[in-house]
Amino acid sequence: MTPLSVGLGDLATTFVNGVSYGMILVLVALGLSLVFGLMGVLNFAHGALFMLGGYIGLAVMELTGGGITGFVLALIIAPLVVAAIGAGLERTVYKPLYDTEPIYQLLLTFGLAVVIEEAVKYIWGAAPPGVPPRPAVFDGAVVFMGISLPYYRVFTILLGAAVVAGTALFLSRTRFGLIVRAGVYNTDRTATLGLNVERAFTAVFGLGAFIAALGGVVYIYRAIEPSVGASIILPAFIVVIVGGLGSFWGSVIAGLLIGIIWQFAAVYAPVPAGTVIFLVMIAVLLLRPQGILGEAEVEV
Amino acid sequence: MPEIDRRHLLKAASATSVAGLTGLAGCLGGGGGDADSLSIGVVTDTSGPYAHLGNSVIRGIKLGLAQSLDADTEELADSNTVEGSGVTVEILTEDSGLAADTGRQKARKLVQSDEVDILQGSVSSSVAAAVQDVATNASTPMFIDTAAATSLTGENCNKYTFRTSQTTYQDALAGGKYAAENLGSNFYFVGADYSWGHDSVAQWKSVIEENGGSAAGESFVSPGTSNYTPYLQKADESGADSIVVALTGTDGIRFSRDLADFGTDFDATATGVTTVPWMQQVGTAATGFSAIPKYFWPFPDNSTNEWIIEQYSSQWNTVPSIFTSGAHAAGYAIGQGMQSAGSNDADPLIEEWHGMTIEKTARGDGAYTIRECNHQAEFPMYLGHFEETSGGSMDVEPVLDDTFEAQASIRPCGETGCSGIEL
Repeated sequence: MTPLSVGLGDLATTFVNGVSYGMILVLVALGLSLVFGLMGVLNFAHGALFMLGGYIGLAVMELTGGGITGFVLALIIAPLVVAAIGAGLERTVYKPLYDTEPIYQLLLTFGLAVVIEEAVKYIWGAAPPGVPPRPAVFDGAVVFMGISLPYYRVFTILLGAAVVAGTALFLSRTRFGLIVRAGVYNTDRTATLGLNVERAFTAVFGLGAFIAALGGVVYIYRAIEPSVGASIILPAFIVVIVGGLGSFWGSVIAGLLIGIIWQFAAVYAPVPAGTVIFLVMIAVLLLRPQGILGEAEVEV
Repeated sequence: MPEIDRRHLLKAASATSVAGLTGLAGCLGGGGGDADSLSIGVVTDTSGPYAHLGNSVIRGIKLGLAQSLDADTEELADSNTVEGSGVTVEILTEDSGLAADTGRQKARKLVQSDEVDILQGSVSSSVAAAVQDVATNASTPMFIDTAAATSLTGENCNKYTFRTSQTTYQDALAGGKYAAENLGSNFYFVGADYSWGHDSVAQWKSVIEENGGSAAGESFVSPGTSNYTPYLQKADESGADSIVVALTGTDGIRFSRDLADFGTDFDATATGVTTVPWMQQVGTAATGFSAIPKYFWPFPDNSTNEWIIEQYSSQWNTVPSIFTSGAHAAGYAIGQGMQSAGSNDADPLIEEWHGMTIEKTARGDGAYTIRECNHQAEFPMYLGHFEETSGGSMDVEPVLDDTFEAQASIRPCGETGCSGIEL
């Protein structure tokens, strides 16, 4: 096929693959954005929680004998365990730092990331771990109008969409979400009204860790090793910055947009694809410094 | 033994680049060599993503030494001392963290403080080059057991540097030829966007073209890229029927998964991608790869390889890595040289290794020869693919397709860039 004959089919394939890549970025960035939006904490340990989710998911799959049952159980249990760890960390380590300079938070969360990564290496070893066979239900692809999308990518897109919708509903439609949003708007006044803002913050931190771990379990069937958290945190931060620091929907839009732009650039642009994500960030910061939907609070 | 003898003083002085002293080594050195003890300083990666390679290399050296010295192997897993045939070898390991600067510091420390007789390493070619630099300046012999950059025994060859692992060109000469003859006719190349990836792609491309294949296009990808579908799409649009991949670590894992899901029509071959942890992680996606020019433990059929597999299983409860063969050969060569030379001094040892045929190796008895022209070992190359299996601890197993003669799988002495070695 010559380049001239690149038709709508190729463009559609590129687009769909871009969306599926973007959804992975959304899954990684969402928890990060949530925690920043509600607590103002730039959580460098988010990538480590993502990686920890993958390893705990692997342990669950090994204990339950793998297969689709093991994978589904991993998708439920690993995020719950990591959420509990996240909530525990919020109570003990993050809380004393809420009113301090951001530099302390950066140092602390960066240090935590190192501790978690080293702990994983200590328990599971530094080499990439063995992974049980991917459940056979994910073999094959959906073919639609000449576009072929593997089942595992379809699953990733659907799971990402469900997480986005679930989190949005939680924040906008539940009483708990209302307390969270009120707490963000004015912490002291909300507390004066007798509402437990601290507990809400702990829960939201746990939710962020839950989503990170869910992404980690999905990533078992991409590639998992101890340093995967450190390599995933940079694109996640860029997605959050492009979307607008702390903007929930901004991160969703930015993640998908970067995924699609990256995919098109990698196929058609003559520049190395690794630079594309940074070019997008620079362009957005120049044209719209606050990010796509930038306001330092959750928009739901 | 005096606290500081002349040999060690000279090593320390020249390692810190004190001008002038190096030139005196030839006049003052020699004599006083110890025939019953030896220390090897290994600078490799024991903590990062390639720790499994670094650790497997240390195990391979121990096994090679133990076999050559007829040593007891029972304590091998827990001890860094190998004792046999009246010789005690101590192995000191240092972690380079894959950084050339760290590797250089660790190599200096090994030479200056620990006064090792031999240096060895490293997983990364840039670390190996730094260690080589220290070794050469200190007139200390060095064995390279993993790093594959051709320049180490090419332009930068010297009498102190020996390599028992395969170079990128040995990979390309065997893999590229086999691929052009058996895999397809039109190839797309995907390489890591740094010197190793570019070198590998250029070498595979030239070998494939020499053997009648053609190049349809190429892409270089940043390390850490998490999505390889664009490159499969480009390969598809280029009209290629096969892909050559030069990626490492998790990049190779993700590429293999995307290939299995998207590119089922392509035959793929690879350098760098295929390791034992990769097999354990990608499972049946490994079956997309063939013409793989690496040592996998089931490939050779000989008693030394069987012994290595047995030792690996009983000591470390796993299978040998793709670098075990070269590391074992280095260990065996060191033990063999030490016994023949009756000394741990550099010069007599170098004379032994120069042109040495290593008696026992994982590729067969006498299969490795260290060439006099550039101190690069030549050895037969295996070509294999992966098949699904059941019952074992892995989903796939490596299967041997062909074995290429040693001389056919290495560049002739005149083409290596090495201007020759004077002892």
